[in-house]
Amino acid sequence: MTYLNTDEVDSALHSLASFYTAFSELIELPYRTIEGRAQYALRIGRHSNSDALLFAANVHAREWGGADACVYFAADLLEAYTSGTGLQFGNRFFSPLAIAAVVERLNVVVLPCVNPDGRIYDMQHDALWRRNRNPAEANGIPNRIGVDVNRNHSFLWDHRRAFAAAAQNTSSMGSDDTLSENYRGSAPDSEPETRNIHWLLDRFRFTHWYVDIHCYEGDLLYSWGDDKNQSDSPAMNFLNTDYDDQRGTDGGYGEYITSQDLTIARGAAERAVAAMNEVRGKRYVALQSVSLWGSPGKVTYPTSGASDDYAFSRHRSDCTKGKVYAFTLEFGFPGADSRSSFHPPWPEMEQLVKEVDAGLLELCVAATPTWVPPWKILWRWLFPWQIWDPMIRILGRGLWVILNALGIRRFAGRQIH
Amino acid sequence: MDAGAQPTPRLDAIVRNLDRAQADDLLSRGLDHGCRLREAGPGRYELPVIASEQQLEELRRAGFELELRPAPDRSLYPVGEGDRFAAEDAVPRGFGRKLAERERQDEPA
Repeated sequence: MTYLNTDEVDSALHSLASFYTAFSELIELPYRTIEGRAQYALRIGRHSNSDALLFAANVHAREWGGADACVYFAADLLEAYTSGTGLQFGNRFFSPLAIAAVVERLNVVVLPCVNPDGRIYDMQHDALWRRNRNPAEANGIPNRIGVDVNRNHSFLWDHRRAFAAAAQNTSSMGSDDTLSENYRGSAPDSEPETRNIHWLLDRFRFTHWYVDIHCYEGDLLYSWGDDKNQSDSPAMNFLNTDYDDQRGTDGGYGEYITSQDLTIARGAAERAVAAMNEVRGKRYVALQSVSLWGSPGKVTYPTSGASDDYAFSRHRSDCTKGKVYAFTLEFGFPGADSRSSFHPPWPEMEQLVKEVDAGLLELCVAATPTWVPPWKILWRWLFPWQIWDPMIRILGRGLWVILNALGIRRFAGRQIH
Repeated sequence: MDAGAQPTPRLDAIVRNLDRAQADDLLSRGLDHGCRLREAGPGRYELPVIASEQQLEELRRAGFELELRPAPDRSLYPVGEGDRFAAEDAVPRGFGRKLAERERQDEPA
């Protein structure tokens, strides 16, 4: 066995969609990459308007295995559902009933390769490449090509403005230097790969769970990634510019998350991690994203423009968006060198695929509703997303206007303009 | 831009025997680390660096203890050639075992 080349990632999705036509759908994303490649996602689910989970991988070019894990996850889920079996990854078993419930009550959307241009480049040149291949800001210098797609999202993108000075030069933060591996791009959401993720979150507006798959820290990270969590001061949040010079350090600022959301996010992460560890006894841990490089509760890895924070922030920055619990999965563990860490020898990668897929499936099982009320199905059938989306936007905007007219200047910490 | 122009090759190294201040200094230099700071004994750390020869030389001159890590044999992480799913009946199959519940219960613990 070998890693999938980038064409195979696409053809695998085409193949699955044409073989399992009754409960899968191939989706071509609207924005082509800088090098002109089309990107594809696969939806798995009986009903196109069910609640959804979105799994995206291979944002960073050199982290090849995430794409393979997503393809084989989709293949396993579809085959097990069709044959009426359960699925076993190492020592972790998922029952046929659980598999059937996932496919019949949810939409699972996989986007295996967010950054195909980068994946191809890295596979061809063995360059440990991280970014995409956008040459727009490179001024003809090959080392300056590319944007870090995971620092390009419109969540505190402008780190010079939104973070404390001490946080701005940490190695985790986005950068405005085109030589940096974390180069954030010329503007928020400037990259087609970024916009494709946003498009999927909009297209499947009932998406409640998002996982961005990376390697190789052995963690599953939950919100937030810009600063430590706090549940006491709603006004202390990423929308409030009063705190712009305080974020990203161990000072007094904390990013607001309700205690209920924190319990849900942390609980789901711990549950997925337990499933991953059951596969072969490895030690994945659930951590808050900002604590990735140190003790829990400490700000050691503050990030700007990251996709998980963007996904979880949407419902607060735009009241017409649904709430998405967002995670970053860092599969695998350090190897003898960087190459065998980012893309381990294939026999090890096969085991990692099982761990990733067990974790993703556990999240699906956790997200599966025990019962879907018939009126919910009818409502979503009568008002599919093409109608529902503009309708809720109009209603939502109307609500903001009314609140503003009533003189309510702050709502959950957000300044209303 | 010259279409054939390639970036300066980057080398894979690990910086060893760092104390906390050195580690913080290294982390603030805007280099590509790819992985977290790892503890290597009480109060000592190590950190991978993926950087050009020139950048590594600067680190050496600044007193960091570097060890180059040669690229492993590419055959260890092979990439598919062609398209294994091109044939009409070639559908991907995952690595999970497809089992009925009853069969699983028969397995040894």
